[in-house]
Amino acid sequence: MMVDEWRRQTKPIVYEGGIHMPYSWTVGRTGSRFFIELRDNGRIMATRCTQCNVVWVPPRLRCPVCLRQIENDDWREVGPLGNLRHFTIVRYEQPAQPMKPPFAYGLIDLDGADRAIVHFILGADLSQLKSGMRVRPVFKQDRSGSFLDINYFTPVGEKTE
Amino acid sequence: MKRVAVVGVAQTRFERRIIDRNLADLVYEVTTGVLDDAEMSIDQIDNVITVSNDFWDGRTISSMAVMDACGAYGKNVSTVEGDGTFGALYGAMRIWSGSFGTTLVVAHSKSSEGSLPLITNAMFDPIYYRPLGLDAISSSALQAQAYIDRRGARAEDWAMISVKNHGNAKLNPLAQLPMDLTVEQVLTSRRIADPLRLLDCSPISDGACALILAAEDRVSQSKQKPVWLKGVGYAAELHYLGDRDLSQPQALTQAAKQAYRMAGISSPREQIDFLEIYDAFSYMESLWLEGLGFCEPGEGGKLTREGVTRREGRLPVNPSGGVLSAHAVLVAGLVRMAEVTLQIRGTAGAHQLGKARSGLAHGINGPCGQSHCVWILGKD
Repeated sequence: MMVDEWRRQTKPIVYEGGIHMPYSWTVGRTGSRFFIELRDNGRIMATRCTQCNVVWVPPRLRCPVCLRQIENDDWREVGPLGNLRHFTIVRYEQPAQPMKPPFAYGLIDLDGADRAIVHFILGADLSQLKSGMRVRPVFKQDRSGSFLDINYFTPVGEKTE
Repeated sequence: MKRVAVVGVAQTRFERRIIDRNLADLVYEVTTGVLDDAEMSIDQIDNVITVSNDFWDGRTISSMAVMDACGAYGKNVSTVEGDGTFGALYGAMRIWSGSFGTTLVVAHSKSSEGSLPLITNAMFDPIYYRPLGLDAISSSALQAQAYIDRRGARAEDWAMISVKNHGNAKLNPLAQLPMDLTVEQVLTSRRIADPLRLLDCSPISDGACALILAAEDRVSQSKQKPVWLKGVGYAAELHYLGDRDLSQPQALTQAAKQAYRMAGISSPREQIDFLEIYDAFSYMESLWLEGLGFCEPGEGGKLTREGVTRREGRLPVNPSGGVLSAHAVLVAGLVRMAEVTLQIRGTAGAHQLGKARSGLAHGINGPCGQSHCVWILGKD
């Protein structure tokens, strides 16, 4: 058939391209307070909903369950120590990762918080990691007010540089 | 409320990289395909729902790029950014509301054109978690580990799921990855992110799918036997991974309860013959079976181990080969509905099941199944 003939004879073209799209992400006052405390004082801040009795970290302007507004007294420091809830050792490389694999991500239950945060688990022999182990944060020396001001969490007892 | 049925289905073949057809070509293919399947004309389509995502398509207002191809010229058309099951939900609601008599639902994806890790990294918020480099695979690995830690799940059972679904795909000519595998091969395949290995992960796929939905008083316009939308449910959890118990898909349980109630199902194990569910990773099939209430929490692996979920078993799960055998993002949930429809019609071909009067189709959105949509389809 004619229609099949042109299909067979036409070699498909593929364009290589990409999109670079700059943004200026607004953090909001609630997040800003979290990052300022992290940057200036090395403290991890959370917010407590007095109605649900849940300490949320990262902090929220309102409780995501009951939508109650967080008041002055509802802010508190959590951690810095915590329990490693679950972890994964990442073994593949992709360009969004800020470091080379293998490395671990963990869900960390900080002391005093009711919800976990996700962060890197490093500074230890990865094969020795266990769910439930105690971990502590290792802060960057020069902090800029970002979630990566926490370099990573490491098992308590591990020496760090 | 009017009864609504699926009266037409079409799918492309799913491939790792389709280069001889662009996005619109794929949409043309399933749009004309679904009209052919129903023996309907585009004039008999009252409105159109498309399913697309700007990041995957690499352009803004991605829906508009396929308007011509989905036959929406001069029609009311709207779009869902999310899995195709949610597109079908929007399409069905437009009929249930009385606004339209028929809806064409079309989902397309060329997952191969973009970067899966970069696009799925971008589903995490840019303030806290995106800078960590998390993506669909590493976040799911955390969920898989949570499933082990909290429920005693076993990688051996997940390997059996991979073997089963890739084996099922051998009977489905549209699947991308028909494979003869052994449990040993899955368990020794390359480590990706512990506990997940290469053969626990779905592939990157290109393809499209379309359904025609029709109100009861319009189903006779199709030459196909109607397959009825008996029930639907949908629910979402909080976004941050740390806010959730990843081993307990509570949004799925809520969605399933809604769907069962609407469909008049009191015992899903007795009243549903087979399932097509969103197994983007092997562990998801057993975790979702728990969330759907087909077994107790922690017992999902047992259903696999005992052969219950095989084609020949009491409750076949993913007889098409599932998402593990073809994963066109956004399209995959609509494919689950298309596959359930074909089975209930009795026209699934080589992978036709013996008993298929009532089936369940399921789709997910967001990291680790943040939201779920559950459909019950039936013969009458």
